Amino acid sequence: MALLEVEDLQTHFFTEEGVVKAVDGVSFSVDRGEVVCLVGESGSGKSVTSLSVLRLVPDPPGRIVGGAIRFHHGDETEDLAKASEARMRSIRGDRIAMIFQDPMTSLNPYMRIGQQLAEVLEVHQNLRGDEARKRCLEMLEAVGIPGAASRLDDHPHQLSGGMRQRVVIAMALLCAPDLLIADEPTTALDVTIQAQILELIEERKEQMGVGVLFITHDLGVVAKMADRVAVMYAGRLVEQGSVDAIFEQPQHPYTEALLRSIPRVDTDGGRGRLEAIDGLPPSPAKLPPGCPFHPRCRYAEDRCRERFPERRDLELDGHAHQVSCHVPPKERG
Amino acid sequence: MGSYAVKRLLGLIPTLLLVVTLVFFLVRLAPGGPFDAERAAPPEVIAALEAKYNLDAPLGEQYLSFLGDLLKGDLGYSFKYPGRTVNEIIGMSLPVSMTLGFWAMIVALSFGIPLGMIGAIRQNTWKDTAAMAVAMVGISIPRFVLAPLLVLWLSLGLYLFPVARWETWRHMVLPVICAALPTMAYVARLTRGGMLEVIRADYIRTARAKGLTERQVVLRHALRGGLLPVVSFLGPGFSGLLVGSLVIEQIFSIPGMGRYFVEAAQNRDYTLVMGMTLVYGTLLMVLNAAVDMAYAWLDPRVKLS
Repeated sequence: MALLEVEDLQTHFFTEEGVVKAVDGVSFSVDRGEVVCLVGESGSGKSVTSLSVLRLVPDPPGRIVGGAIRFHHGDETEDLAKASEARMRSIRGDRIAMIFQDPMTSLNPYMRIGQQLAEVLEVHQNLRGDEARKRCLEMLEAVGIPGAASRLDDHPHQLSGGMRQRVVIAMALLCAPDLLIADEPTTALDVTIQAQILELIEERKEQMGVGVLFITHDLGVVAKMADRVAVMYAGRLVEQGSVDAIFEQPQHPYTEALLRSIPRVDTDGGRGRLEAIDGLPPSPAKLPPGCPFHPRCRYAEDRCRERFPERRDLELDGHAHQVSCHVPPKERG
Repeated sequence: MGSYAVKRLLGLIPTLLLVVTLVFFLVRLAPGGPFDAERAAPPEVIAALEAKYNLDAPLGEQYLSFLGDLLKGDLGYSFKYPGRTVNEIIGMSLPVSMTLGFWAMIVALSFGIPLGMIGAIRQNTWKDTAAMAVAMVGISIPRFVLAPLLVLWLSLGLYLFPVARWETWRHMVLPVICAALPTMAYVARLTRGGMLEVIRADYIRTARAKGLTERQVVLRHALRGGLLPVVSFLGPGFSGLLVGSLVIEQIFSIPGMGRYFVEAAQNRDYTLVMGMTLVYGTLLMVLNAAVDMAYAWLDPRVKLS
C-alpha cells in the first residue's frame, strides 16, 4: 500500500487579483522506500503541492479547497487535508519531515545547532538534556558532519552551506519519519556539494526505508534520484510514470520539450544549439483555456484550446503511466 | 566582552572631550551673556560679576581652567542659581529624571512589545488594526495635552492620584503614564515591523515544519530577531525620555533635569549648560555602548571588535 496518496488536490490562493489555482487537481502517490520526483518550472505549483501535504501553505491567502491527502502509517489511514491543526503538528517533523531549499536561511541564525535539533525531539518524543543531545550527535555523525560534537554548540553562520544542509537533513531524520519531503534541497548549493547531498539523501533513504517526495526542476537530479517522476505544468500534473519511461518514451509534449532542452555532451559532440521551449510559462492568475500548455505546444489542435484533456492510463515497460494530452504520440505530425 | 566594554568606555573620553569643547565655545558665541537682564545692571556690577566668574579672562584661559576643574570633577557655580553648584543641581535632579525615565521605559516596553506582537501575528485583522490605532493615538497626542487630561480624569475626577509633586509612588503614576505613552507607541510599531520581517523568514517555516505550536514558533524563534529593532531604539529612546520630560516636569512640578536643560541654554548659564551637556552626552554614549553589547549578545553573527 502506498505511503502517501494525493488525490485531486486543489490548493488555491485568494488574492486581490482573483483566485489563483496554484495546484489544480493533482494526484500522485509515494511508496515506502521510493523517490518520487515532482518536476516543473518555477511557478508550476510543485512547492505549493509539497507544502500542502504538510498543510504549511500560508493561510491567508492560500487554502486547500479540495481533494484528499491520504497518509498511511501503521494500520491507520488519515486524510491530512481534513486533519486538525493539533494532529498536523504531531505529524510534522515526526512522521513527515521536510527539507527546504536554502540552507542559508532555513536555520534560525540566533539558535545553536544543538538546540534547533533537540527541539524536534522535545516536541515529539519529550526527550531533553543529555539524552536528546546524544541522539542529535548520533544523527549529525550519520549525515557526515565532521567534529559533530563541537558543531552542536555552533551557530548556523559558523557552518558552510553544505554543512548546514546536512544539519537540516539531520533535523528532518531525527524522528525517523515515514515520508521525507525535499523541496529543491540542492538548488542553492554548488555542484560538488550537490552530489554529496543527493548521495546522503539516497543513502538515508536506503537505510531507513523512508519514502521521498523530491521537488526539483533539475532533470539531471531527477535522473539520479527518481524511481518515479511526476511532471507539473501550470498547477496541473501533465504526466507521470517510471523514470525510465519518462526519459525514454515521454508521452506529453511538455515532457518531451523539457527533455530536449537539456544540454548534452554525448550527442553531436555538444555542438548543436540548445533547444528552448518557445514562449513563457503562463501567469497562474490568467491561465489559457483548455490545456494550459497549448500556446507553446507544437502539436496543439482545436480541442486543446477548448478543454483540459482527460487523464489517460497507460502501461509502459510494465509500469503504470499517466498522461493528460489530447494528441497521442502516434498522431503527432 | 569585558575587555570590549572597557575599551568602549575609554573610547568615550575623546568623543566627550570634543563635545564639551564644541559646546564650550558655541555657548559663548551665542549672542547675549549670563548677566543680561531686561533692566541692564550698571557696568561696574557686570564687571565685578564677570571677574568673580572668571569671564573676563581670555577665552583660551577660561577653557583651560574649565578643563582643569572638570578633571577634579568640579563643574563650578551656576550663574543663574546663585550659591548652588552645578554638581548639586545635577545631583538633585538627575536621580529624579532617571527614576521617571526608568519606569516610563519599563511601562513602554511591557505594553509596547505585546501590542506590536499582536499586530504582527494577527496582521491585517481587527486586532492588528486596534493595536496600531492605540499606537497611533499614543504617538499623536502631545504630552502637554495628555497630561492635563489625565489629571482631570484620574486626579480631579476619580481622586485616584495626586495632581502634582514628586513624593510617593502615587505621585509617580500619572507622570510615568504620560512619559511612557508615546514611547510605548513607538516600541509597538518597531516590534510589529521587526516581527513581520522575521515571521516571513524561511527559518520560521522550518520551525513550523518541525511541529512546534504557533506559540513556540513565536516565542522561541521569532521574538529574538523581531525585537532587535527595539533593542537598538533603547539607547536613544531612554535618553530621549530623560530630556524630553520637560513638559511633564513642568505640569506635575517634578524637580527633574528637563527644566534645567532648557533654562540653562536660555539663560546663557554657561556652567550649567556644560554640566547638562556632560550628563546627557555621557548617558547617550554609555547607553549606545550598552545597546551594542546587547546586540552582540542577541545576535551571534555580530562580532564586537
